[in-house]
Amino acid sequence: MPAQKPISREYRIYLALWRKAFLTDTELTIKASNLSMAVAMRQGMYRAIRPFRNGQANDNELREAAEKFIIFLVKADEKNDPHFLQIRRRATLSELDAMFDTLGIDEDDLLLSDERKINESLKKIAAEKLPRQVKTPFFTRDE
Amino acid sequence: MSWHYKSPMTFPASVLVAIRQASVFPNEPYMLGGFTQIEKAKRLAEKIRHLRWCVKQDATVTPDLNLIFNKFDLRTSITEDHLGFILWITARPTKVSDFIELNPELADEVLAVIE
Repeated sequence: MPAQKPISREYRIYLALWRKAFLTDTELTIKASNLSMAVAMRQGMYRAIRPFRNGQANDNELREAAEKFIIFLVKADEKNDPHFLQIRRRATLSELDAMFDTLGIDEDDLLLSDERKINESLKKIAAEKLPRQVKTPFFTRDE
Repeated sequence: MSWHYKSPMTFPASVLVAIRQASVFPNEPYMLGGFTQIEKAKRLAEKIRHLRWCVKQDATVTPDLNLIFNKFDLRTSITEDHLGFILWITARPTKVSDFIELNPELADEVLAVIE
């Protein structure tokens, strides 16, 4: 297994911002000095969260943050003016979540075929009766 | 070529002054000097990289320079004109320093978590 690279201070800051957005469930606004800095920061934020989104690194909060939020670049009029980055909720996901009842689907419908098979086999295992325990004097302890 | 440590204070004063000057006016190129041969300009640019390495080896010797190197990404460039070659140095704020400077409240909160 390849050794994991140490995370730079810059990436730690980005991950902390993703986590803050997820835990507080609020949209954050970050100011950058110019357009190129804002673009570079946005790319860095996505690069930092990629291993968590892909499942290469295990952190449920960050994985869910990547699912739930996006980084939106609010452009200023001039390139050298301060630009803003906004950690916003993913609009499509919020809308689809709200439409669950109207569409008539539930959480089970979101599962893929492999996941359904796993769930079914788990249900079968759970439904199976436990083997009857045979009590013999040999296995009982004398007090 | 491998570098050997030497005190940052023993580097040419012109280089130390140029770095401080460039950091005062970020994103603006500061002229380090004019040269008739490009090799000489390249040698001085290499000296700045060596200085950065030496400062990083022991940050306590010149904490002010260490702060500048942490806060800025110092880049050199060489331009050619009819007299010879000019060496420029530009201090560009790093993404982290830019974030801390422009988002003080958010930075305090985030840095308290990661440090």
